[in-house]
Amino acid sequence: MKRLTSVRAIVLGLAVLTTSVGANSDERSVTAATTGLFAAGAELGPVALEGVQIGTGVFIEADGSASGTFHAVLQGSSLGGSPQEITVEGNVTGGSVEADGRATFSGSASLNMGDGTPPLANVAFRVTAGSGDLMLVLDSVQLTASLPSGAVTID
Amino acid sequence: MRTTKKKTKMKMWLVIAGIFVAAVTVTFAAYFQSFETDTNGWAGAMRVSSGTRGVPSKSGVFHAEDQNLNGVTFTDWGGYSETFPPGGYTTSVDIYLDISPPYMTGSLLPYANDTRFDWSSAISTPSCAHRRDFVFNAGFYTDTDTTGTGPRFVISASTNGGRGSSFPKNPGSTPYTINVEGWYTFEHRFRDNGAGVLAVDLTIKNAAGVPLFTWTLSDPSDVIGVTVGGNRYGWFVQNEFPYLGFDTSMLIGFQDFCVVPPSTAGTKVTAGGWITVVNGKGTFGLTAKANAGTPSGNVTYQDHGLLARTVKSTEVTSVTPREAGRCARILGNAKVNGTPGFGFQVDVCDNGEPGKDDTFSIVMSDGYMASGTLGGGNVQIK
Repeated sequence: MKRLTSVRAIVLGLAVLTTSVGANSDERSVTAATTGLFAAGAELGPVALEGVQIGTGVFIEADGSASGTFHAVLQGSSLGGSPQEITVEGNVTGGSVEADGRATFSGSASLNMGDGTPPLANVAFRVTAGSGDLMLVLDSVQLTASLPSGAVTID
Repeated sequence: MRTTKKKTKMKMWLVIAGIFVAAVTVTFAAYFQSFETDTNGWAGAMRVSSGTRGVPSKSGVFHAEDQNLNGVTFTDWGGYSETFPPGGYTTSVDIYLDISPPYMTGSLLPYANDTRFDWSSAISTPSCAHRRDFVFNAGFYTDTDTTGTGPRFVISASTNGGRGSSFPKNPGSTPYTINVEGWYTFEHRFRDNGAGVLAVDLTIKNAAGVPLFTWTLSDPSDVIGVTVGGNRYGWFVQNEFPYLGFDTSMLIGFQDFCVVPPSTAGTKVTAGGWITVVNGKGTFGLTAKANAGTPSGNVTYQDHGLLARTVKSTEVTSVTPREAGRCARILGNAKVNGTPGFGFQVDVCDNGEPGKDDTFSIVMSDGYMASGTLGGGNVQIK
């Protein structure tokens, strides 16, 4: 948990950089209800991550600002092997859609580790999404997931 | 104003029952009007507060009255539809049957023998013309005969309304007698009879939702998709009572509107999260807006439970705010598990931040429904 806190400033910096990336002239959107599988070895703190369920709806403006919701439930297991779910409730404030069709958006989130401790507030996050994969940066921890089922629309 | 102990007890019980029924069903309803804030979707409905003329609202603190506006009190359930949904649909309204003194007129004297009202729910043709009415024919009686004795309602069902064409005591329509004053639900269930022909179950339920009696009407010429389309109106075809109380009107099922509701310019919706579905979660994400009244957006939904499916919109056809901007409705077409050709109706409500008590519901043209308060996530409506 200390590690998460200490690197928050760095990730906030990344988020600011992300929002300054040139955006297309029209309003864009990212919409997803999807299920992901993390790459082997993915971890967040003491939790070994396996899968993720995502529901998100984001409008991205031409000036790099954005609005919407990023919700994710990261599923894994604790050090003791017990199932543990980490919930990310993100408020999106910036984003862009690149020429290759991939979208990046960022903001701050509450992070509930699912271990009984109070949720962490204002955790910086950044998401880069394509139609079949997703990268979530959560307080400097980079997590990559394939998206084998569900729907992702980047418009 | 009636202040008897009996009435007070009944009021408390009715309110509790009403809240429970509303909580269970309201979020599934494609159309819902309980007159708490307005009479939208109705014509001729006079909104009154609970207790008016001694009648406690069925749910909440307001209901409506048909104040002897004979034949001009009706709802279009949010709009007529052209296609009969595969799972059928249900309409219902709660009506107060005023049987014992003092009456809603303030008098201790009963209404005249054979004072009537008719409540119809009608269906359209596939080209959105009128096809047929299905009518509860109800009358207040004080006489004595095979239907009972003293003040009571006698109710039957037919495909006609009005004195010239129907008769509540028609022995061929199996009249049903109600002796106890209170709220009753008049429900029409429109369904396929199994052979592609429309059958309509007209059911009266008591205030607790317990079915009391059901009539089934079906005509072999009402062939679904050929002569029968989607929902039409709900209508008090006739009403001879000076005050007829009604509440909690709803349509449950998918509507593909003959005239798609116009989008409201400036509406903007973002949402993501999950609700509980049968044996799992239903995860969703959506964006929708109406710039200059032109709707656009995307809706994605994934049922991880027993009825597993992935929904991905191909077109958004309408984005409208509801409930004074607290809620929004998004209509459109979608692929289900990659197969196109499904209609959807999504309703979201923003009841607090961040995501506190927000709701999401989806109704699809194949009969799929899911609804609930968010287990996680957020809905934002501008």
